[in-house]
Amino acid sequence: MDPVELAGSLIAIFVLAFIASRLFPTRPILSNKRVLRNVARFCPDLADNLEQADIFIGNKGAAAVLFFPDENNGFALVTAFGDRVVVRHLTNADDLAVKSASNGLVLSTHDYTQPEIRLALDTHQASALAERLSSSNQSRRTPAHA
Amino acid sequence: MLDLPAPTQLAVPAFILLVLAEMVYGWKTGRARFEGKDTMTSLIMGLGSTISGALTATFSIGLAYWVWSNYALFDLGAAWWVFVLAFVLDDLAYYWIHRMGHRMRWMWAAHVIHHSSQHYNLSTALRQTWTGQFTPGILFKMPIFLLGIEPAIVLFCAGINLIYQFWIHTEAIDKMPRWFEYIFNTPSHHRVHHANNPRYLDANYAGVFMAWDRMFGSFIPENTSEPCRYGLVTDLGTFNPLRVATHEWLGIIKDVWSARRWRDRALYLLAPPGWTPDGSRMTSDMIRNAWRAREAANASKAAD
Repeated sequence: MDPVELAGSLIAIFVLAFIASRLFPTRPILSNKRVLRNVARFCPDLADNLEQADIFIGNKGAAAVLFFPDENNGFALVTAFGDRVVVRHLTNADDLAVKSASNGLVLSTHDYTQPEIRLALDTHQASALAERLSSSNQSRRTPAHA
Repeated sequence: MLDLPAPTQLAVPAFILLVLAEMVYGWKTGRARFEGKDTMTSLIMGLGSTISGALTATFSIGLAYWVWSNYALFDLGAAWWVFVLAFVLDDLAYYWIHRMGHRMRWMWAAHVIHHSSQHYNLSTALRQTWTGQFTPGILFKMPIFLLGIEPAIVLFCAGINLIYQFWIHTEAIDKMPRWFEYIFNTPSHHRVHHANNPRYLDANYAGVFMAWDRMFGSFIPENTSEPCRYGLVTDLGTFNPLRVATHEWLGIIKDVWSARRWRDRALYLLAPPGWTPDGSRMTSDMIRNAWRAREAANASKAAD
């Protein structure tokens, strides 16, 4: 492929992606209903009584944590991914690092395609969620940088 | 060596225009859906696939020609019927390459890229692998070269086959006429193939002719009562093309490295995606069996 072809291809790609973003605007907003629906789909064997789950949704609606009613089942990390949703199910033994940030929490896993999830939370909510994660998981917590 | 055009390269401008047309159609009618970053990733994967293919084509074409020139049983020439025969045989080879692309983790590591979008539109058709050359897919075409069909003819037919498959990557077309649905691959059949609903996993591997799926027991029709959801069993959480291209290879490397037995190392490559020695992850078969068990239990509860 010569440089002109390559440049032309890249321009066409950016133009098409720009048009797609304009014609199909998305605002990643998670709701309790959307979180429940996607977790039930991803974890069908844990879907019983899911409406009793505790759900923490970040202020921007971009990410959420769902604690299964049975504590032994761990929790689910739910993120808005464009106009779709990505779910990860973590058990109590899975590695999770919880870092406090100025505007919430940063959850880090060994997931190569989603190593970090940011939850925008106020101080009180962030603290409550971090405590809950620590008690239900072998997570490591680090404070926000000064 | 026959000098034939490269159909997919010639079709690129049409691909771009049709993606745009589908976008506008979807915007107006709601019958197609796009997302900006997803579209960008799909198209970059397509561009990268073209570049990586060009960089490594010499090896696979060289191998094909070496087999054909040294071991071909017949010299079939380049008459029109040879092209027809090559197209059909290449489509059969494609079916098996594609089936193994889902049933063998080594080949899945390259093919997974194409299934990694949660959308299903014409840009998804262009979301192609950067690493297909690191899998043994070319071996499935060796019988065609041994029969005596020149690799250039097979390559040309393979290009036509890929062009055919472009238009079936859409939700904008519901069903084609019954006779067409019976013979050819269609948007409906291929939606099932891309779906991650347990009912639809690992089905409809055809390129052009659905006969192969019917013959080899991998055909599942689209069920309107269960709309297709697209993507992987565990969807990616990134739009980064480098991570999209390499994630499964990295997973294989980690698993093979940590395996305790050589048998397990081999099975991490050769067994279906999701296989583990301790059954801690789920293959498509396990997911489908679990779904069937749930459906049976629900039906039994409803009957009581």
